[in-house]
Amino acid sequence: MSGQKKLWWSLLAIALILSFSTATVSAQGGGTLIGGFDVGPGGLPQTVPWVQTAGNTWLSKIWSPLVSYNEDVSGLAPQLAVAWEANEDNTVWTFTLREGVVWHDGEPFTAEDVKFTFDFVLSPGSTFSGPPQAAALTILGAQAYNAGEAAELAGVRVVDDLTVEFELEAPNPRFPFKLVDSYILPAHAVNFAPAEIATTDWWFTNPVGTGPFMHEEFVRDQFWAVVPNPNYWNGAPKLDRLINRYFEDETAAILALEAGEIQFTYASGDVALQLGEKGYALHQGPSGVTNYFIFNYRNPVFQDVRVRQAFLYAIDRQAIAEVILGGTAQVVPCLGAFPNMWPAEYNEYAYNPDLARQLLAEAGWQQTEPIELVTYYSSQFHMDAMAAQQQYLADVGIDVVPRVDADGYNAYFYTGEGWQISYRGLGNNPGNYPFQFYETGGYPNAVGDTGTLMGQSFPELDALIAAARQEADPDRYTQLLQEICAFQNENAIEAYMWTALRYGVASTDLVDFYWFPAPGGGPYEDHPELWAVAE
Amino acid sequence: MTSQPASPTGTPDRPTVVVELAGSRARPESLTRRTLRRFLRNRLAIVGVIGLATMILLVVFASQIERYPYEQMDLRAAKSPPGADHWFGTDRTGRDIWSRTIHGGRVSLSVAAAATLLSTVIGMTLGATAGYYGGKADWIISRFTDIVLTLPPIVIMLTLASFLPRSLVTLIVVIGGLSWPGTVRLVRGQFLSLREQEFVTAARCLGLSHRRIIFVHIMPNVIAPLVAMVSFTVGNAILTEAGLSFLGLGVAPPTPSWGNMLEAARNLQILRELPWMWIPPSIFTVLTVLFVNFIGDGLRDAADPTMVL
Amino acid sequence: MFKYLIRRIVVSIPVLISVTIIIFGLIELAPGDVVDNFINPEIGYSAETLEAIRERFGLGQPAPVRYLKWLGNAVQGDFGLTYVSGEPVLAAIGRRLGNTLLLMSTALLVGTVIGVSLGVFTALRQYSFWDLALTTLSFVGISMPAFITGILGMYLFAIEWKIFPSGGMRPVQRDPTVWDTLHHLILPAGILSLAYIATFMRYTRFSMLEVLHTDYVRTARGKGLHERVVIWRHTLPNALLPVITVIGLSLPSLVVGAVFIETIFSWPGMGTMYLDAVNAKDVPLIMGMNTVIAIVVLGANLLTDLAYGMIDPRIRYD
Repeated sequence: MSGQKKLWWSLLAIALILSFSTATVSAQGGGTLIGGFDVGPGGLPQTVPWVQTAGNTWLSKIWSPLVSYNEDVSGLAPQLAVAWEANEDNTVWTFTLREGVVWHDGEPFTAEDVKFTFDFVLSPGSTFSGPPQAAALTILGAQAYNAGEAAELAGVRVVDDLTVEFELEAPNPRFPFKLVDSYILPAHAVNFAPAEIATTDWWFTNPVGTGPFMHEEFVRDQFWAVVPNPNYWNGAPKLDRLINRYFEDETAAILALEAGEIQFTYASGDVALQLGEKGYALHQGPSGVTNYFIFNYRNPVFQDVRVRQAFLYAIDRQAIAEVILGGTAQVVPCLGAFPNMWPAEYNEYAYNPDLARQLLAEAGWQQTEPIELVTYYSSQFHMDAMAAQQQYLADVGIDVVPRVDADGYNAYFYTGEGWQISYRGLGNNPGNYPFQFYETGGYPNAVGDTGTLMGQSFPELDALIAAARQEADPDRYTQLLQEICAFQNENAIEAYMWTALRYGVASTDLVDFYWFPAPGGGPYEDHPELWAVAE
Repeated sequence: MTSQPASPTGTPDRPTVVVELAGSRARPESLTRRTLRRFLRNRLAIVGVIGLATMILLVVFASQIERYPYEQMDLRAAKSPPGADHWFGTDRTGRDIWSRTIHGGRVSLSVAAAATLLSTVIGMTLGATAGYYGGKADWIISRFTDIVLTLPPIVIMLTLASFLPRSLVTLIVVIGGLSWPGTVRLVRGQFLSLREQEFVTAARCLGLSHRRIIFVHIMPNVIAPLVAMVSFTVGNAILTEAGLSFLGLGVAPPTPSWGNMLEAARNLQILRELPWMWIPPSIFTVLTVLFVNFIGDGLRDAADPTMVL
Repeated sequence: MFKYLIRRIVVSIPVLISVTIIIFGLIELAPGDVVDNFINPEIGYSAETLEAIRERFGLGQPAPVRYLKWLGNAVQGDFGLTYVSGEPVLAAIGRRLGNTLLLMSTALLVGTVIGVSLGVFTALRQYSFWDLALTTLSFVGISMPAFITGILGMYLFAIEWKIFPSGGMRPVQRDPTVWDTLHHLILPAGILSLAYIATFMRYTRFSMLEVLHTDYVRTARGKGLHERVVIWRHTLPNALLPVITVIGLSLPSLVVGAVFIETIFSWPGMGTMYLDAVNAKDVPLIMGMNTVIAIVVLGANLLTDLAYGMIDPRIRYD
């Protein structure tokens, strides 16, 4: 026994010595900000622009797009472009570039770089994919050039050193919104082929961008350190160093935050509120993601509006949002996640189980076996919400069984087959509305003649969407979004639940730090050049 | 298991002094120590039996004992700590943890029992065959076991989840069907060693049947490591069930199980602020494994010819 | 023995190939493909973008053709590029393998030494207070999921007492030293070793009890041999057989890693990489990792069988 005791004491002593030796070191670099910038719903850390589907909060520290979202994602902010305007029919967009911008290696940034970027990623054999594609492929001649049918990309033209023109295949009054995650690449420094976009290690060994920070050290799976770009157009950053540490999941990041090893991370609502009480600084904002049930109309029972409305009346959405989700979610009338997308009047579908039962009886609701309610969510937050939904539905005689399918979901969801009802989330904001979810032919590969995910066409929505896609006047456009909302609400084409707040948690010694839960991580106007760590 | 293996050296009598020798030290045990030890030995096995029986009764009569239906939400009472209304408190949707714990035992105990039985039967049969007969039988069984040991459970589970129906039987077959290779390796190893020992050779020379040698002479000596294996398999099955149910293979919500109640502790808020949500299922799981082990310990002693009870 | 060794190694090849066929088939049958990893369900993708992501991975060929291609390259040592990170599979594995070996071998070593010692200790004092206490503790340790012991351990040692860092393998502020690595290693390895200690302790205890009651131990004692000699020379070696089996069964974890501990301690190892690869259906990476794991499992079983022969010379293979 005594031998064992001795062992423990000596282990403890070694541990103490070790901890002192590191404690003295962590006191130096006063201006170093370490954060978990890729923690959260975006998924695994993504390090490669043009194939990224998330991770823009970090990528935008090194790379810059022409325009980004503004600070609360309600509009756009200038980045490499200072001004942009369209011709009368919204088919040609002219961008005026910022003067005096230089690349991290000191070379000047010009319109040629912009043209090079789009030529490069769109060239035949290029491996680019992901959201930036949505913008690039609408450029005139882009698809032909990408398919190898045209010798060059017709739609991007250099007017002069600081002016570049995009001509589109079809009018798009909100084209700049599509460009927010299209990072501009240096024509003089890219030394790999377009086919190597997804595999080259250039992106994290010697990247040359125009962003506020410059590459210093990248250790795969562990961290990426960057240092200030003294020539950043908005002024050199105050921080000495900025480090993105990689975490396999949120819990690990939060424990690191509490241990004082990082100063920022994303946190889910319940944990964030808990940390807020402990004195951490909370950065909160709307997720812009609406959680809802999508019905598969290929099953005729869901074609009856009374059945769909019964789902809404049966579930006490307000109680779930307040109690289970702890007030971190707001009930919505339709897909629109922001109040300016809602009409003045709409049906609130307040909790009314009797009405739900009555509607079901009128519709002749008969169930022989449980209906699977599939989701890709696996967090406790959504599990609790689904447990409650299941009970509320059971209460009125609808038997659903939740099933979590985090892996296979995307494989069948977009075909319209293999699911009955899905509890999911869909990001939307006035600048980027997922019209294709509601439009006839929006998903040509989906099963059925209509080509919609739901398996049902809505001519009224088709008309509203066609009008909205063309509408350049912001007020009139908002009006159309509200009309879409009214239709979704009245016909309960899906059962809309709520939109949640999302949280970033920071230690209180950060100065002028800013974070917002932008879709895919932004990029948005977060002014990293102003961030500092208090002594 | 009361039959005694033929003694290798053929000593017919078993002097009681063996107990002292087998105990711990060469020096004779004091009377008090010896009494305590005997008392504990009996008591622990009895504690195991009574404990497990109580657990089974709680679980079987869960619907009679429960104070609220296990699936009943009460948002006003959500996150209540243990108290008079809810003995074990409530979860984040206000469901009663006491009800969920005793109902959860239905899934957990039946899956654990059946899966352990399945895996032990497969493991013992294959292990004994390979170890006793050796040669081709050993070669084939061992290579087959190698293959199964090499397959990653997560890939098998993910794939099966898309084919198999959601049911208790599926759970049992998958858990039992994946956990036998360890038992095979263990039993085979013991048999390889034991079949070469004098008492087995002697039994063979006497012309005893293989079956008799395997079951009567060798098997009792394999009980000890097997008991350890069984208690680990029970614990593992309870935890694995949750993972499988999560993939859509096992029980569907809102049916509770100790495994899926424990899973909730992955959430930091629950782990720290709502410990009553995960402590009861943890305690029940630990107790189950402990009781099984106490019974196993008793069984081992009973099967041990040199222990004088 | 030598002949046996050669035969085992030769027969490993068809075993290995059948394992890769089975795994490839299972992944093929599982729903979804790598493309799903690049679809964030909350972003409303256009049909064209979905199509482009699918094209990028060109999964057009039939499964048997893709398998044979993989096998043809693999036997030449070319395991391809991972789908997700785009780096060579072997490089990705190499990067993680060292980390996992360091973590798991420390845990296994500590677990074996302490576990076997405690097992002997409890066997010699069967039904004593210490036996009961250690038995109970070991079952608590084993029945608690790693996420509970892991997080609680980190809570005490990294957050409350700040003795160890909360995660990672090195400080990010400067180049790491050997001390830094050790400092980051102790906590996760210590927590992992708890399960090993519990397991090995139980097997050793049971096995010791079994052997202590055999006639030759009695004979040894009867001859008046010193108790220490009886225990260490006569009992323990014979009791080790099942323990060796169980240690052999644990050897593959040296390369398989431990998913949860790696996750919360941000220790980039094989466990999390494998899980990520499976979730992403990153076929080249899964196949590469499985080949490595299969070789280790086969090797560990072979080693175990050889160890039997060394411990008990009567065991023969034919």
